[in-house]
Amino acid sequence: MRKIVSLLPVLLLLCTFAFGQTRTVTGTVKSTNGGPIPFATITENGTKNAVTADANGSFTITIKTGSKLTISSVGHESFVLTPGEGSQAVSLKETGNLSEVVVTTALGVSRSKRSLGYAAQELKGDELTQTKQYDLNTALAGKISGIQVLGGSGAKFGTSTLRIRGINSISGSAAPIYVVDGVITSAQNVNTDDVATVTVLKGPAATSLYGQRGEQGAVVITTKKGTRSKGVGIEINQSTTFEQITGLPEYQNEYIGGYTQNWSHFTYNPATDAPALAAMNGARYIDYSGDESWGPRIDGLPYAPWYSWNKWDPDYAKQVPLVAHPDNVKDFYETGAAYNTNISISKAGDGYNTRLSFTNINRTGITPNSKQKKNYIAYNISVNPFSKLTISSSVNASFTKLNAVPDEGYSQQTIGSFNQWFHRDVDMKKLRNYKNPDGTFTSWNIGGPRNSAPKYWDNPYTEAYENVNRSNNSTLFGNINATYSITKQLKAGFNAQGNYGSTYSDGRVASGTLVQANFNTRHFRARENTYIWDASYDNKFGDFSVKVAGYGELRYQRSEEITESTVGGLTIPGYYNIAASKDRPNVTNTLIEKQTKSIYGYTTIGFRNMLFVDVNLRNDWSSALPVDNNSYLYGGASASFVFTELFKNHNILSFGRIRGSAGRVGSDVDAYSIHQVYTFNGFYGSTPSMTIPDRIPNEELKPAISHAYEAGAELRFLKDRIRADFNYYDRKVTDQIISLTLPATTGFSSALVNAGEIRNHGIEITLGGTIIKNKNINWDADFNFAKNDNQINELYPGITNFLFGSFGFSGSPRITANREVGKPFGTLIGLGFKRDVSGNILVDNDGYPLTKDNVNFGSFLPDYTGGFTTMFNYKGFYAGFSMDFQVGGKYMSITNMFNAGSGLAAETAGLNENGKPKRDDISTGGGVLFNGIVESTGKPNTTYVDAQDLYENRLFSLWENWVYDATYVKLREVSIGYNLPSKWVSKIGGQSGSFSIIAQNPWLIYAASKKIDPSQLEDRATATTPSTGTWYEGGQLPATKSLGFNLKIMF
Amino acid sequence: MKRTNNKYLLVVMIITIVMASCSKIGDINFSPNSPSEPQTALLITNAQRQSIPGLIGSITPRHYVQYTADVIYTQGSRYFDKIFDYSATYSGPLADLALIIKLNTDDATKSQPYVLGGGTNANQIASSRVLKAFILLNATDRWGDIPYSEALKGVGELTPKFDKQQDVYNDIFKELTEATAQFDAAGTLKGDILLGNSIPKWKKFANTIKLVAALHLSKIDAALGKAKFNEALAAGVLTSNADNIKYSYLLEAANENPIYNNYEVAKRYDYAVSKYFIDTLTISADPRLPVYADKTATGTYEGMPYGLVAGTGYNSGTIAAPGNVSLIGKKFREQNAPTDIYNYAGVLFAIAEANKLGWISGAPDDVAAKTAYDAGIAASMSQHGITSAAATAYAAQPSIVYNPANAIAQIIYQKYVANFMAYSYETWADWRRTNFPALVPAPGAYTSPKAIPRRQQYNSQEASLNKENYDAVVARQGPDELLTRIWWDKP
Repeated sequence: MRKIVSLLPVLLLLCTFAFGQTRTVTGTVKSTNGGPIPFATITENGTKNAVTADANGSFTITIKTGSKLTISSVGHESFVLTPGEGSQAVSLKETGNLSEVVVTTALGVSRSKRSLGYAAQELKGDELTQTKQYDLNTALAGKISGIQVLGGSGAKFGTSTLRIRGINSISGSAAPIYVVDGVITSAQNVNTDDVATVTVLKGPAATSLYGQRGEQGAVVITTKKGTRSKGVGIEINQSTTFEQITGLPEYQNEYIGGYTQNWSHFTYNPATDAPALAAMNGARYIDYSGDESWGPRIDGLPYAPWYSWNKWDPDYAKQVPLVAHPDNVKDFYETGAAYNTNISISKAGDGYNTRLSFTNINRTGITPNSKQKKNYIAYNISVNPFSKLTISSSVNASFTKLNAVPDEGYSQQTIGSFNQWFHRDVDMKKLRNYKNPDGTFTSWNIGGPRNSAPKYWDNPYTEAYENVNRSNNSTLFGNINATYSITKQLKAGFNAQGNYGSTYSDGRVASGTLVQANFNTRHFRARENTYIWDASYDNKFGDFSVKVAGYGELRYQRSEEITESTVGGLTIPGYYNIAASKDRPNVTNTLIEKQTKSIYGYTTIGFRNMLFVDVNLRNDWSSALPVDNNSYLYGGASASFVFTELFKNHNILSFGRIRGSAGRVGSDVDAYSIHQVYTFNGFYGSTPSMTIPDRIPNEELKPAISHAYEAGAELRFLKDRIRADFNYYDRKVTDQIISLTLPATTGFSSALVNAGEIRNHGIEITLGGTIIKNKNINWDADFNFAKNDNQINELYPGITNFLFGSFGFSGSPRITANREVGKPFGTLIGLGFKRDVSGNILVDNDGYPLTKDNVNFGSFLPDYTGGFTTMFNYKGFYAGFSMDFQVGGKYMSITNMFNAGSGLAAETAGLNENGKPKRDDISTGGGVLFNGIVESTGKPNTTYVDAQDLYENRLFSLWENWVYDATYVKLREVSIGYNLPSKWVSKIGGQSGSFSIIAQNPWLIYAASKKIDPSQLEDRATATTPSTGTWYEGGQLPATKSLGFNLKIMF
Repeated sequence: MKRTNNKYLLVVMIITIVMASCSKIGDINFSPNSPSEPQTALLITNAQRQSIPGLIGSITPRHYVQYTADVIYTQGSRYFDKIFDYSATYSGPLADLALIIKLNTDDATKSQPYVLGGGTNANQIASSRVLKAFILLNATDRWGDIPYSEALKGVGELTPKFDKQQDVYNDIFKELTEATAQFDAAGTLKGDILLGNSIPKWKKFANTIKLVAALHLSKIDAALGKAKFNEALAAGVLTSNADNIKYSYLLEAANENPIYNNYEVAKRYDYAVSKYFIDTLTISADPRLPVYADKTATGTYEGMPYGLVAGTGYNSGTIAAPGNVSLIGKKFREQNAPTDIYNYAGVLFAIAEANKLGWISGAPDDVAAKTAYDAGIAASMSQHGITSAAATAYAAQPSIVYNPANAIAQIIYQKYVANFMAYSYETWADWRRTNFPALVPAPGAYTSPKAIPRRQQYNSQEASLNKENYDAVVARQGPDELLTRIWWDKP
């Protein structure tokens, strides 16, 4: 193999001396607005000699001396050129006909959209960066049909996941691949400023050439290339945005911390208490150690807050009036600031084009001490050392530093706990002093007047400034590509791709905080090398055009990881090093290798630019599968028919086509899944131990295959002023490789098997229109809508359900997300209300709701998703916004459960129907009336129940009460801008410029429950473990919005 | 034209050669991160370490029998927790034990070095059977009917049925009998962190489990109980405090006592000694009280009232700065404080009860019962370092002196006190069987009617993944609730 690689360039060189008696013409094709036109066709008049320009519009053609050239490109008027000396610059006028749109498809192949047999929606870079959204996935929200953005709070600097056309695998994995100039990388590595186009490929017919990794769809990105420009080709882009939290739950501000409304009174003991505390004799105080807010009523009279017992506090031994602090949670959060500066230099000339871009992002988050610093460097170059050879390369590097990014989820010392366990009377200002001079830490949740140590919760500022997690991540990915035109029709190429990442992260827990002091580190290094050989043949035979391409690919993936953690505390407080471990530290190192070999190819046959047929095939060999079963063949076929080519009159229906496709894609498993191994399980003293893993491996595993069909139509009316696209798809995945959940009494919790069938089918509609178009005004609007139906048809023989996930508290019933035969993926099942035949909640004679086990609350998958975008231009002004929405889908909220359970929520206080405080004793008219029908009498309930008992105990783990509909409508992005007049810009030497005001996530217009923003649900996804579905939040960070401005100047 | 053909050929050749280079790529699919051979010595260590601490260190039964009480968040002592999950026990230690037995049985593996490294085949199998019996006895005593005969078969049986508790008991007796006979005294055992690889101790452990299990049948099947009890006694149970079966925690975070973790690592101080326990020891001037409990800030012994709706007004303080309720004594909360599984005193009280029931000599035998009872008190006092003078003075009190009319209550009470902070699921079983000591349910109990739990609920997975069998067991055994009585638990 190695020999062939070294031979190849030699062979290619030999070929170059085979021509003579001709001249070589080079040039660039661009549009009248100065941008390059990719892939124009350059034909030598009167011959069949033709070449295609590259993505940057550059072409090289060898013709007979004196021949003329015809340059044509879809969507543009053709141009006949008499070549002069030097490089030829050709400008083509746009025809204004959208029917000739070019999109980037799998393997980066640019295709005229009309020839595609499947739905492919492309966005231009400008549409992504309208509001300088950093996160690629979030930038796609609402703009592409059939995708769902599973977002997290902006407080974490954005790590969202895309779900394309529902969940297509029983295992639940949902993330698409991100392909940047051919290299598969993660969304976090994509700098939206460098993106030229994004195409989302949604089904196997579109993605099967990417192989199994494209199983869940592919987001294909081309980066910006060097272009010829009037000026020096420098573009500077600066944006500054400010981020704030939106939507905290509504809190009650009538009752303070504690467990009961009774006060305790301090009795000074001169024998043991500090003399200063004599002033506190008789002071009333609450049970600070109960981390709830069922305490006494706020009455404005003096009381002893937590800090009055802290001898270092200025208010030591002082009582203060008991007043509400309605904004105490809000006061914790800060205004985050983000500064994003991008500079790019782009140049193109004869036989080359190049672009260098540098981006610096500096962000502070909404929680104290949280920071992100990120730099991107992108460089690409394409040169033609001689006419037949094109060598191009792109390199993208990113460096990210994160500091104190807050964590989400239940059972951690997170910021999310504010909404779950807190005292409503806490003055946030007082907590800013989180550390005492003697090194101890303060907290609102202390043991008592004589015990100032934190009980269950550290001060949130201690978390932010002492228990800090940091990470430092570098990635580098890119490719080197050589393409040689053997003949006019036949090309051969070689492409080497690499993707390298390395991460160092560490975390610390300070000595003296609640959790045992700890220091942990993780070193992670991954690399992926891919080598692709390709050959393609492209020709026309009369009315037929034919393209055939073949590829051979070798991919090697390797990752190395070392994790270390101290055990038993730190020997020296503040010495954050593994060497400080009190006991033997935990150290693990992991090496994973995987290799995949593939051959694949496709052929496209076109007839009169009207009918197109595509066939593609791919075979993979995966090292992760059993040797006898490691080969799998799959592919797709599609057809597109532009029926309006048959019509003479295009006045009303200006363009119309129908399309259809069928595809099949195969997939394998992670490395090391098939052979039985054992798990080293730590030590008892110096005695080592080992256990059998809970998952049963499978040496008989077969590759999984999925099938998909789709059909669609694209129609445009009135000279393309109205545009519509309909798509129907049906996808069935069978014999999947799944980790089957077993009852643990089998001795195992799961088994790796081939089994099951899951089906997704749905429709996608996009509607667009140019509402106004004249010399001064252009107003475009686009709407998209998708409906997906998901059903699990079959699991393993004898098994009708297995769990996708579950959540619960020890000793209490859990809520489960299920994969049940005959039902959609992810049906939530748990303890619900007992209801009568008409659906009324039944209550018992004491007025408490009755419960029923195993109630199905519905799936977490949405019924419909969609979005709306619009852009309005008036002379130099422009304004645009985008919205997205989701209808249906359930999620469960732990935040809301404890928000009520801990007496923090507004609903737990106030007056009841009798006009008496809900928290008053029932005997005096207080209490809460739980609406329902009394089971024994059939009459409406009239018995009041104790508020605290209801929220804290009776509704605890009564999951139905905490499951919400995730329906929402959200305004995602707004931008209002102005193209600066050139006379202004020219004063600083610029060519053009623009200024805009931008807003992200400004308005959650509608949500079924507004306590939690369903579009920013807690997401436990990481770069390596994509989210499979957010079906509950355990400790949600607040959603955020941001507002800022953007200035762009081109030189 | 010819040249062109050659070029096509070249391309085809390149692709063919590249593809032909696909060698056996499966070779890299063997994980370098995990051992591929099962070392049975290490599996033995793991099975013990992952099972015993969880069973004997659980706070739940300690709350049930009111050794301890929650201080601030009292749900735990109000029977709020209903579902208890045995999943990790089946997929963890029980799966390891099943593997040890299989590796030592299969001809292909039984002579492999990685198997013989755990000791002789017979000893590995026998000790694994004993531990398995111990774990499953705990399970059946908590949940009643449990997956047993069809359990631990992997994909061989995806939905194991629930066996009747009676059948589980019969098989556990059989397993213990066979295992005791199977031990090879001349052979070795390795990786045994529980009993130090001592075969004689394993035999005593097995017989003691049988003795304890036999007594559980006192109400449901006295004949079988009596037979098994005498069998165990004859085969040899614990005969001194030196024989006590206990789990040793270590001076390291990975293997530390759970009370130490709660008090000194997590600093939660979730629970203190219960008021019932402290009051009852105070009334009888029990010299073990200073061992069992700490003094409060005011220098007294005050128990935490059990199962209040809210613990307002009570605080456990810390070890350094005590609150107004007594913390669990130092002996039981040190990082490496061991926990008794079975102690000599407990065995003597079991013998006393069996004598009183007439199981040993065939008729109730108060003389033998008294002898065992007195010896039990003495053994417990000695175990906790109480001087014999103090022990004698205690035992001489009229309320303590063996009284034939009140013997069962006395015996069980003494067993209860002797087993403070020991293997408390066993204490809870004694309470269910005899209703002694006479505990008052938590005033804030969530159970309706307010009562102390008599079993624990199955985990939610059984109802979803093993529904048919789950429905069957609920239909047979009664509602899957805390107050449903299991087979041997008769009023």
